[in-house]
Amino acid sequence: MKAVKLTLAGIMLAAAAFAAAEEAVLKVSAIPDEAPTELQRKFAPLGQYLEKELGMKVQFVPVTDYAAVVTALDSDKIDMAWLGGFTFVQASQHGKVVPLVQREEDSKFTAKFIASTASGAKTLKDLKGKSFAFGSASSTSGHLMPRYFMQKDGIKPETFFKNVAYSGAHDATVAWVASGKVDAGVLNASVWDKLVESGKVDMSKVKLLSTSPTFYDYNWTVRGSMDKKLQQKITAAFLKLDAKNPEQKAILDLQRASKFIPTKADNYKGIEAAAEAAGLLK
Amino acid sequence: MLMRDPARWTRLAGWLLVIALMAPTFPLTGFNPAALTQPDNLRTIGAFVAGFLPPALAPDFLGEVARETLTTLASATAGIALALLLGAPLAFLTSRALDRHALSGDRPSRLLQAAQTTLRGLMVLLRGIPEIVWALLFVRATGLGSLPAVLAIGLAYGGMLAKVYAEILESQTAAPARALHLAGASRWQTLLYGLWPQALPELVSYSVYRWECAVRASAVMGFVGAGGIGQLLDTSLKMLNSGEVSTLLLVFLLLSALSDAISHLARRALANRAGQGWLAAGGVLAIMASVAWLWPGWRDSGFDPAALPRFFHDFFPPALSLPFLPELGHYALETLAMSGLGTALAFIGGALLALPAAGRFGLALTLPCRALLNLLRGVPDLLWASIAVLAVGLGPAAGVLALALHTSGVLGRLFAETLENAPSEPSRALELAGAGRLGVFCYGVLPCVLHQWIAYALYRWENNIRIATVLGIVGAGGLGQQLYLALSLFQQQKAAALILCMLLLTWAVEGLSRRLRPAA
Amino acid sequence: MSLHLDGVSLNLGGTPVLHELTLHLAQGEQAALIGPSGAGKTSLLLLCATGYRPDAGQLTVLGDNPWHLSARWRRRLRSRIGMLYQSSPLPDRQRVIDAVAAGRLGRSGRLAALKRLLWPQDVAAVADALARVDLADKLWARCDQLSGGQRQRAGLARVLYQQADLLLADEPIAALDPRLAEDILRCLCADARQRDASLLVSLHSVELALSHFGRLIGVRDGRIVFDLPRAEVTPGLVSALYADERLAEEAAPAVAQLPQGRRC
Repeated sequence: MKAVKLTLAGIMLAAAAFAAAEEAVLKVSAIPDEAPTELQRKFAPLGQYLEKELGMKVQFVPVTDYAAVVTALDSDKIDMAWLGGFTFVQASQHGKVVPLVQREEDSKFTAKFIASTASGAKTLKDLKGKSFAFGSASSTSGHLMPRYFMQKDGIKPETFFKNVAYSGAHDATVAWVASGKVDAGVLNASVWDKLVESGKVDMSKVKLLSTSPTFYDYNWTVRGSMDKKLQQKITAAFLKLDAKNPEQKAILDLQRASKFIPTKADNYKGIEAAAEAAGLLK
Repeated sequence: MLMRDPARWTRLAGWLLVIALMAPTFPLTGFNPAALTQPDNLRTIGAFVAGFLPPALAPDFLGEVARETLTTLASATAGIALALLLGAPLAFLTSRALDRHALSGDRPSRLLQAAQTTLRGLMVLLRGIPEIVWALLFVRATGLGSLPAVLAIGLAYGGMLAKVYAEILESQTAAPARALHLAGASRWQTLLYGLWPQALPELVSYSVYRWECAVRASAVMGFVGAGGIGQLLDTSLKMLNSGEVSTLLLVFLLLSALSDAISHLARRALANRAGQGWLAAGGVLAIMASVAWLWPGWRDSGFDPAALPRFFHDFFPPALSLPFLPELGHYALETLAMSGLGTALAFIGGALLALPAAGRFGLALTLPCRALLNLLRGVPDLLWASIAVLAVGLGPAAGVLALALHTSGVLGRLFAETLENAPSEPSRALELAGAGRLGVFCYGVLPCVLHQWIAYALYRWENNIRIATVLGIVGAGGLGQQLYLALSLFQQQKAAALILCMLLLTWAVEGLSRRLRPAA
Repeated sequence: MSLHLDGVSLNLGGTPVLHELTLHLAQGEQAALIGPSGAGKTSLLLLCATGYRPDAGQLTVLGDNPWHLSARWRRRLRSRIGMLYQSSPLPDRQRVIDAVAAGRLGRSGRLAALKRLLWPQDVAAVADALARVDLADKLWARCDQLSGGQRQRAGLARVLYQQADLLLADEPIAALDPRLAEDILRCLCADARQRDASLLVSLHSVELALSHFGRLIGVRDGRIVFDLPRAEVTPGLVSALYADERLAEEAAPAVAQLPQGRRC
């Protein structure tokens, strides 16, 4: 064990030395609710905008795992993250984090239940004994809220469906349903709309079953130890984005936002209660 | 004279027991061979496999594949280096071959014995948890990237190396060590001058073999986010991008063959002095190059070792509360059934493939069957599981299929070897007495090989129960799926209970198999 | 005519082993093959058992040329030929009942063979064959529980159970103590006589050959040196047959082992 400790200590020392040498950088990440390449593409113009507004370097840290984003934010490895409602609740349970802004759309977010046309299902109830895919286990619109709403309707996924699986990401859920790997699934309404608009869904194979009631979802959150002034600067930069400015409209479009509005932790009490009820918190 | 079989009830009971044990595995795992022929499933897997051609060859993608392949190799090498750092001292401290009382017949010291027992317990724990579970834990503790893969290989293989090193030292001739000890040599000196010279080739050879295994392990660690080509494969599989999957599969098989060849060369180099020098230099260089390659990633990951104790502290106490226990039992049973049925099917599959592979049906069938066995064996279980999920849907049935496929390859090769080594006289005699093929096989071949086949299958079952516990990570049911979920939801205490359950299940199967093997 | 060899030659691996042999054995006739090691006795017996295909000459076994028959009819012919080996080729872990029962595999259907493996059939007849070699109590034992002599007798029981029309035996008593050797030979001869089967036995011991067989065939260097009634075999002929004898060596078989402590 001593050897391991020594090795680890060595790594730590070296890492600290490297870290000290770097200039001030804002490390930003996002929960991987879509394919990593798609996330990078979406972030690039926003990153440039923030660099200009804040006067500091902005670096995007791609992460392929929801829980890793939560851990990273809590241990100050990243400064700011695009979180879902549920991941925000998890992060706030672990340590101090501050939600800054959200899209106007996020205050009345929904999830879409979809099924393969081959399954012949018309409503959620028809899916009894079929296989069903959530997105990531840590997703709000791809897991927590749909589970919560199903539970309210008297459906316990583990017994109602033949198999319950987690595809990992919203676009993967659509791919799974389209391929017949699972009979049905649920995903984030905004990803669904985007895929449908861009013609990436084969409507002869996948159909929309229903839309969930609304709930609060995504926000931009920073680590609690961040300097208050920087927090205000970031908030101001987001709120300033205006759809009338063509350059900024492009950024907003990529984020699928009409505009950003301030948000607060209390907005997510409902999500927390839902997670509690669904038994997804510790 | 006794005209009725005195063993008839035992035999009947044996058959009934086998049936009674195997029958419930079907409903428990939901495995239904008919699912393989369902048009829906056939279409899914057909469309997926049809996309294998052409493999994805976009320059961007290939660049990424090359980078991740290097990362995979580097993680395996650095992991083995860590395992050596951990395993060698543990072996030195716990090997009975160096114990004062074993060498001279003195009374053993209580303190030493207590310390050794503790260390041996630690070793059992280190190697008892599958490396991919270690990787999953470290991904949560240190973030994504190659670091968790290195740490996972280091710990799991460190425990294994420690045990095998100690055993290798114990298996050497004790005379030189005893002579040195009686002349007043210390533990160190006894090792260096008494055991080291004779044990070295075996120690190095085993370490090289472990490295080969580490390459294969590191290639699939990406499934839990620990970098390497596994990570690319996971993304491609999730997005059902068959072209990319086929490229990655090819790379994987090449990597496997490459590590095989390197390991073979390294073992040959051991034979002479110059070769040993090259081997030592090559090993050190490879480790340095690996660390240099992985270093930027580790630096940026901002890994904080100080946070590790807190991370592991959260796992205690394990959630062994009443509402969770029945659920735990259910998943344990599902895992057990998955491993049992998978191994049983592999026994049949392996036997069916071994006969042509051993040349019993002419050369035209020998080579294709051998190639098929190599393919089945070369693709790791986790990968088969992700593909099986397409063929029979999500859940433990996919796990059964994955285990059956991979293990068929492993057992088929071993079975073919026993067939080749089996005495030919009994079957030749029956052939000359006019027996047909089936008769010759059942009366002349099977009695010569069956006990070895069963021993191999039981041995493989020990391995498969470990694998069955982790297949859930790619959606194939059992304890693994629950562990992945629990860790995603930060339910560490539940995760601890699941890991505990995995360990108990593995040990139980190992114990049972060891008891059954000599009787076979 | 039970056996009919006319100018038969055999090459094995390019080396000539038997040279233009001519030999006839009538139905019910008994004869002993004698000669030094390496003379070709085993090859000759295997050739008669249809184990080798002659390279030249005419071979007729029980009225048929085995190599002009279809595979299916050759199987049928083989089921009528019983062969006893120097060391009985019985798998260690097989039960004696199955080892003996295997003698009739050539006559039973596929399913019947499988069935009796799972649940013993025709136990009385198997037990009777074993009783004739004084092994009745080993019916349910495993072959590796038998001593060398018992194993050889179990092999004989298999041939008795087969009820072949042509009995061939290749040094069946070479490794046995004299009393047991005597018993086995007597049993074999009696069985052949009783069922009017033909019997050809190769023997290392000239004394035993002279005391049990009326006809002796001397083989050396793949050729028949003499083929005479017992009365005409003189000590001079015998010593000429065995001049400059050399001993053959046997190689130990390889055994597969389970790899220990290796797993990925």
